Amino acid sequence: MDILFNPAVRIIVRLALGGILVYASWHKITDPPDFAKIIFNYKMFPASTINLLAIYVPWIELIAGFAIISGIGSRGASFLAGGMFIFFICALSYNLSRECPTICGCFSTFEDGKSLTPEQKFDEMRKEIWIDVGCLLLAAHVFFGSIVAARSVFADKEGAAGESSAAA
Amino acid sequence: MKQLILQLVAIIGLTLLAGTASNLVGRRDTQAADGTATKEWHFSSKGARLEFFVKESRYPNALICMMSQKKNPLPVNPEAPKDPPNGGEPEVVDATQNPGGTQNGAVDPGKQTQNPEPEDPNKVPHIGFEAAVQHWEDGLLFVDARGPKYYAEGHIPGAISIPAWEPGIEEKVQQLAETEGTAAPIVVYCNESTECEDSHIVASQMKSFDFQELTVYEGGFPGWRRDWKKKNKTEKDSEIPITTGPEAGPRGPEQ
Repeated sequence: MDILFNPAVRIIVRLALGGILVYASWHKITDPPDFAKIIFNYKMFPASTINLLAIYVPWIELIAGFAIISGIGSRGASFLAGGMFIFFICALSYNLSRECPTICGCFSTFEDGKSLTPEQKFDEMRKEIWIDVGCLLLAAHVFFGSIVAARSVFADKEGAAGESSAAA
Repeated sequence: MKQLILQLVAIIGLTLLAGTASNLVGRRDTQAADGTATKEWHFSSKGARLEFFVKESRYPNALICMMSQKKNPLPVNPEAPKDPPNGGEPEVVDATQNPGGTQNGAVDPGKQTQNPEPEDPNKVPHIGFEAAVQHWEDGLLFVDARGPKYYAEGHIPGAISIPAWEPGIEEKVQQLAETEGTAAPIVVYCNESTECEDSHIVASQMKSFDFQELTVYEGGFPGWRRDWKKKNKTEKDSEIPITTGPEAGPRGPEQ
């Protein structure tokens, strides 16, 4: 447990996860119509929600990414990021189960993926699920790591307070 | 717990602010006076990169996966005739016998599938290359549903651009209704695909403005280019009817 939540390990995981989120958000923020097309191609969202998701979801990714990298608000950011990854995993799994080939769009644009055959899309979806599982584990590490860090700071403070009152 | 909730609220608040601002403020693709593509800064809801609120008709079939439906068809109707040779694929009709097409008239009743989908009066029929060429030669209006960049790279001569995924689609369709009238037969195309979803998005908008005579050219621009080269036995774009640039160009073969 000490090794798992070692400060150096926590920093590396935070930088990795935050970097992934920032990288994944960039093409969606610069091209909202393309991301709207990706959301539409999932065939899971009512028409009235597609544009709103295309506008706001990339910003959740970007802000959460920076929060995780900086360490400011990383607990909330990793909780949100974890929720998003769970959603992506469920969405891709659902589309795999109903044989609906989908351009994932997590790290690529719709234009990149539209020339793929359905079988290639299914392969990409399976790969993407594994990537999202890995990212979910990173998010969990950041989340629980922040709790462990907060507790150890609290325990240190209590210990210091106890020593100073004993000395007094 | 309190800290977690505060952080979540802060992130969501920042997201709403940043998302709204980025959608309203940005650089938009426009055309300079000499026709070259350029970008300009804008700040307005009219120039938003995506509309915040859209009607359900903006994105038809948003919850229906066509590919999934084909693999998992509806239960067998014992009264329906036997399988067609194409295994239930959407019927592509050569509508040269029925120029302009109708909302329902493109499907040959003699080729109904064993698992027929319920008749959808709003379904826009698809046409193939031969029918598309006939319509083009007859001077019918074509609408290009692809993005502006693809339109400028090359489009069917005379086709006007109404991109399915850019904002302002309603205004463009309204303008079209005023200039051409809603009774005008129109062919919509996009990139080549069996579902032609971009074309159907534009066609759905046009239907909401009471356009009646709509068809979708299934081959799209890639199919137009490929099939014309095959027809003319050439590999050169200059020997087939294609227009480049932001202007529609004249309709029909008289250029």
